[in-house]
Amino acid sequence: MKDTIITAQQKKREIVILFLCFIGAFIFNIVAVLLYKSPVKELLTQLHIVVLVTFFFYFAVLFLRIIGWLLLKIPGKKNTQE
Amino acid sequence: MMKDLIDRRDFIKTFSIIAGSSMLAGSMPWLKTVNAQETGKVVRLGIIGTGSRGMHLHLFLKDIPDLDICCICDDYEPNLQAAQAAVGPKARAYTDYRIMLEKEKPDAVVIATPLYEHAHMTIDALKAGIHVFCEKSMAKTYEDCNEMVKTHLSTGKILYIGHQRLFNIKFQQAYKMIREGKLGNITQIRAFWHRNNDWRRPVPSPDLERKINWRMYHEYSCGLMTELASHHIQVANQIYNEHPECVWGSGSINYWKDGREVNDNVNLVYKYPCKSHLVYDSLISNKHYGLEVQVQGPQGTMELESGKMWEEFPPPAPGILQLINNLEHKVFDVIPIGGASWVPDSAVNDKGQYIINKVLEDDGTKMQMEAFVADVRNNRVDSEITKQGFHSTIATLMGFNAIMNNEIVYWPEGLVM
Repeated sequence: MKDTIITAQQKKREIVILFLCFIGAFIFNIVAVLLYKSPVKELLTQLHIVVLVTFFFYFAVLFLRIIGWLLLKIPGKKNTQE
Repeated sequence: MMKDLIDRRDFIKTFSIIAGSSMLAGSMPWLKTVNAQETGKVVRLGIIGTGSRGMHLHLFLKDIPDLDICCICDDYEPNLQAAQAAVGPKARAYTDYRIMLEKEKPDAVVIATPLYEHAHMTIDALKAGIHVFCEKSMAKTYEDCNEMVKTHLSTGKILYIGHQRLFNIKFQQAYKMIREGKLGNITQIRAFWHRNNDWRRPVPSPDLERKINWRMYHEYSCGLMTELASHHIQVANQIYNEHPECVWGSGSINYWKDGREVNDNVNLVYKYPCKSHLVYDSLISNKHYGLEVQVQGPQGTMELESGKMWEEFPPPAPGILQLINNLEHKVFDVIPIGGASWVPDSAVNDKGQYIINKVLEDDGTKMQMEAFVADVRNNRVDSEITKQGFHSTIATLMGFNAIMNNEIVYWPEGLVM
């Protein structure tokens, strides 16, 4: 089995994506507070839910990225085989 | 929600908070006894009736400091022998309570005999200058109950009736919350007590049937009413802070057809002056629902036996959870062809909250026995606690009479309190 090397650039990219997902989840919470006229303090008190939503977004984006990578890889393989 | 076992110090502290509430201090003065300081004076106590209930009370009495259980009495030899073994050789045993009262002259007695014996034993003890704890219900007739209270008042001796929910911290906290208006005006109370057994005890010989299974026969007992219903009637009286004005009901023997006289199911409606009701039923042929007191008001509901409360209009879930929930339903729900024109009023699916966030070891019996002994030690006479037992028993007997005579029965006149 080969060693897997995660470069600093890859790590930085994942952290940025995670941070963007957190921003998205926080905006999701703001929308919820406005939509359901909830107390503004929920922006802080529901941070634990925001964190869960962050990871949901991250893995959803990861899933889409994997699908995209596979779609790009398959035509590439066909070209190689030909 | 995790609940911690409540220890005695916690218990006293919580009781003090409840007792200190100005809402309760006037109507429940006995709560102050819970904090009464021990003076160190030894109280001499006798137990009359050493059957299952008497020995159950003994389990709590034996641990009270400065209490000397000096004598025991029962006219059924096996019970007396078992009691002697439990209490110890120091306690002198009698088969006739009159002789015991005369010879021993204890400071107080606990009476845990069959219902039909409560009145004459209590009256004799009070007249002999002895304080009395008498198990519920008070007696079998209005006249006997009235005589017991008259004797209590004229002798100035303590008379407790065994309603342990008066000392159950969960119930007292509930009353405090109810008086503070957490449920709004109480518009209805429903209570029930369901068991599934024949209520019989083993009888060594047929001639002891009526003695041991006294609860089955009208000569000695009013059946489910005096044995079970009286507890919840006392609770309802305390919640409404008044006694009922009338009652109607029905009962029958529809399962345990074994020669008993008392009904194996009863159903009643008590009407109170505040225009609210207590709807009560008891049966001994199904235990699925167990026992409960459901207190209902426009702002919320309480279930006192399980110790929970539900707000009628609980605050909504946080906005983010509502949004997630609604999105989930939009994605995963089946699209209806046509909406329902009528939505059923199904029960609210809400877990509620605990009235008291502690696990209680004591259902109030231990605290009640301690309070009784403390009152005897301090010679503190409380007629309010006697009144609770008195009014509960009168209401209980009204229900019994309503069933037996198939008529609406009103609060009797001529009662001493």
